Amino acid sequence: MKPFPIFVAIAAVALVVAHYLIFVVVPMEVRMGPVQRIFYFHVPSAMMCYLGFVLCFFGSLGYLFKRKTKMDLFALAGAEVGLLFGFVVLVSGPIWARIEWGTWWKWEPRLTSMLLLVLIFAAYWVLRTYGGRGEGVRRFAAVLAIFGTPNILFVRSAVKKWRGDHPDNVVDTLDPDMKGTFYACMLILLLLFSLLMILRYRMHRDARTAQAIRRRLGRLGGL
Amino acid sequence: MKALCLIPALAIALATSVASAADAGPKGTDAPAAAAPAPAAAAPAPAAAAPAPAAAAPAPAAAAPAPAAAPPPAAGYGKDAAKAAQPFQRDPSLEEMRYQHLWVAYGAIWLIIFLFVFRTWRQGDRTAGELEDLKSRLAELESRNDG
Repeated sequence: MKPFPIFVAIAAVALVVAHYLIFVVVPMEVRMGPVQRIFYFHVPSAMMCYLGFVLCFFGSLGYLFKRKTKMDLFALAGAEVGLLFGFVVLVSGPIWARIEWGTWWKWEPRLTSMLLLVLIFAAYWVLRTYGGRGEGVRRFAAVLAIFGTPNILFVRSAVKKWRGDHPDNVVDTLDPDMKGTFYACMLILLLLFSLLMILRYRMHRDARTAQAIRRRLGRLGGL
Repeated sequence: MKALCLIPALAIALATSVASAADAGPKGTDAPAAAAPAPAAAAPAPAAAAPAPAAAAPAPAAAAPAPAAAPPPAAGYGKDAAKAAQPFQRDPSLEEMRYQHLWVAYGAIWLIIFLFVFRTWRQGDRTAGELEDLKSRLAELESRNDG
């Protein structure tokens, strides 16, 4: 059996386990009740979002310095998977806020900086998807990622620096059962993240190879 | 790749079954619970925000049942003791709204992940097919040129 299908199977089982932990095992939070269970996907998704953008940052840096296609594809895959988790955060957060704050959205520092971060990488993705496949576009996108990624620091420090309604680090205050579930979900989403990264990277690599073959066929008169 | 698309489906199925089990169970009792979990996540100071069960009870504190003698928490939630400890939380409409938001949030999360996986699968399949086709055409052309 190939290793990749085993990896997929492990991820599938792990996600089912994550839902079992979230909906059955973890105790009910005293003040917020069931809606607090959004936390177990909301916070790890934010971590995966940062991870994707950081990988995009290093891939872009590597591409600009070494001009290796692999680095560029790695950066693109990182941005895409990071964006996916960024959307998960931006969708699950307002649903939780609707109950806790009585409103879907507040223009407070953490939320606003997170939205800006996701928008920067959405711009990166739009540029890479619809901007053509030229070297200039790839270099411009790499620079955009390099300048966009440090915004993670603003998102992380937004609550401490500018206050706002969003809570800061609460993991240390969790009940042991909740903490265990939180770390399990973090690990499981990391597994899903790795899987999606591999899939996106392979897909882009195949597309790049197909493009090279098409060019070669064109030179040989086969197209 | 196709197996990956089953992940969200499995998760949604599990969430739905747990949701229906939760809806079927009773919603707790007025007795204070012994094993109330520590407040978590975004709760800034639950103890201060929530009225103490003993203060809310009309009977004197001495008459209140001892925490150790508290009845088991609501069925369907193995460690749901905290819920029973907070009578103010059992407002049925609020509880229902909280559950609705929970299901909507997880539904939305899985919809986003499913769409992403599905798109990756479709694109990957198309690209792999195209690559195979181009490789065979190239091999054919090169062998013809060599000949």
